Amino acid sequence: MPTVEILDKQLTRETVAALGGCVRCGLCAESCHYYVAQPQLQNMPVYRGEAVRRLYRETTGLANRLFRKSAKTASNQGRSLDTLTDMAFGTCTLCRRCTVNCPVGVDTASLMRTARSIATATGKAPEILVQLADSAISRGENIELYRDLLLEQLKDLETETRKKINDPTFSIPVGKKGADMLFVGLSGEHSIVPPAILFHYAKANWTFSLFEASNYGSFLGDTERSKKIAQRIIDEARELGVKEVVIGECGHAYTVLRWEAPRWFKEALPFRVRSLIEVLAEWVQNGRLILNPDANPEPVTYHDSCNLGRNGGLLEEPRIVLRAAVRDLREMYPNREESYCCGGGSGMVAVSEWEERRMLAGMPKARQIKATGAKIVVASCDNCRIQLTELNQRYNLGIKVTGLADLVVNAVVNK
Amino acid sequence: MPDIPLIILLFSLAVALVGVGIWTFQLLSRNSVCDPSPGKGSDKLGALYAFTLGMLPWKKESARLHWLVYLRGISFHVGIFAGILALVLSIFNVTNLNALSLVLSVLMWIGVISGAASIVSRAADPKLRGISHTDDYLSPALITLFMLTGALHVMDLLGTVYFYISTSVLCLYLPWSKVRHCVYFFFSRGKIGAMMGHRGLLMIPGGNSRKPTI
Repeated sequence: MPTVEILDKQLTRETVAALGGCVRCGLCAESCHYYVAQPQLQNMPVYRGEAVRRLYRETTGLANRLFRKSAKTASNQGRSLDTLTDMAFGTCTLCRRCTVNCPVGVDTASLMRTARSIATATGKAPEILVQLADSAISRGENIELYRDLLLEQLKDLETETRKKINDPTFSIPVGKKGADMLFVGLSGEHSIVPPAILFHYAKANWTFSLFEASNYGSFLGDTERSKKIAQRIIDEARELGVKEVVIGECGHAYTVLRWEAPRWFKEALPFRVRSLIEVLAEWVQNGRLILNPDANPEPVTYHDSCNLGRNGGLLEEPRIVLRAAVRDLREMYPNREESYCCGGGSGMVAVSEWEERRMLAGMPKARQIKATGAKIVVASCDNCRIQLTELNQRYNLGIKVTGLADLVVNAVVNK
Repeated sequence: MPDIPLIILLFSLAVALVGVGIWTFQLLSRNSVCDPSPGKGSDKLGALYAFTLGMLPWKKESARLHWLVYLRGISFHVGIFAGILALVLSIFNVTNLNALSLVLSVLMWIGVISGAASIVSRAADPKLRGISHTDDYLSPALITLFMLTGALHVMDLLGTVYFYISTSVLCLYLPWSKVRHCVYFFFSRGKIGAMMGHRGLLMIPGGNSRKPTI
């Protein structure tokens, strides 16, 4: 299908407004972490938006066609789809910082997502992201092949954790019908064990999901793949009859299931979706978990993941938990919805050839962290954790990067 | 004898209105994304915030960093509205409004200065030049000319015909210009505001970050 037709199919009222509303004032420049790290024309969000606008102008009337010929624009330099693909995947993390800073409200991130859709539909998206998305879909279609392997891994984790917390009753339930919550984590011990310990301490009626929370379809801007990946969890939650699905410490997975999936399926999901952060905040506030901040005496700062914070609305919840769990909480500035992206989001950490630009784009975040003097950086998103860990090495920050649940486990009093 | 400049002006205004109609049609002919997810906050409050408190200069980093550009933008648009009011008063032949005329001319003069400054700063900044279309110079130039002739007309230093001609040229060009943001602005800002309100953002008392450290 020609690119222009793919674009035309992608256009919604929101994207048309984003395409037509830009006045090229350039005020978005400093909102982009790529531009802050490297103040070049190519790193201005408006420059990226113009590349998509050029495609759009080809889909509209004579007047725009005539006008396009007189335009001496940056978009002219970004004509090839390869360039557009590189821009959309390799120089934008869809963090939406430019959107909140635009005086008109132009959502350049949505244009970049549209560009990602076009790249994916034309086979130009990074292969690794396509493979990861397809592998998740395949897992959903053949869960019987994976179930035993997962249960085996969980048994090993249970054994180790029982020793670690000195509690022989600790277990990780799977496929438990009638559980209140279905916890969907990521692969790896760090995303499974700390939440499982906290559920155990809080005596929660929970069960562990057979699937990972990640949704690489959303990084591809591919709604069909995204829906298939989300559908696995929705079906599992329906089958088990849980009241809510709790997403582990993952930025995009939370935003996808909490906010995006209902838009794709055009209906509200039949259960509540919360992040582990919200659950912990509730338990800290209602006394179900009692924390001792002296257990975490070192200075701590919290990194607002773009998907959890600016895109997901979780700004205060992590701070409620941290104020109870650590003795010295320090803020980065700017923070919350104005927080800088760490540079690792939207699939960037998965694409090895973009490591250098990823490290460069993370410079503003590295400077922010350094300015706090914190020794521990909390990131409730796995992509952010990977990126911050690498930034720590690159910029000699002398920090330890950890998840929120890890600090809470340290601080729990009522075990 | 028919008033030829007025007829040309009315024709041009009709062309501009058709342009606005086309932009609106282009927008409304597409589906809007509905959001059935249970909200954490209020869509309506979010949209209201986007057009009120969210417009305040200290609420956006971009405005805080470029407060002069922000003020220039505001005064430019205020000047445009003053020009439109002056045009309406002129068409309906409303005269002898000395105090109002003075206010309108002052606002239009400030608008003229802002418009001229925006053109110069765009031309002078290599990065802005790099992202600019011809229209990015032409649109503010025609609007500045509209405000200039309007201000001189209100001050009785220029005949109505010049004000009408500059307005007509602007209106005839309007459908091809970036002035279309006047339609998309309300939709984009409202929609983003509603989305952020829905997701429980922007309603934090006292706002967010305060002192940039990088």
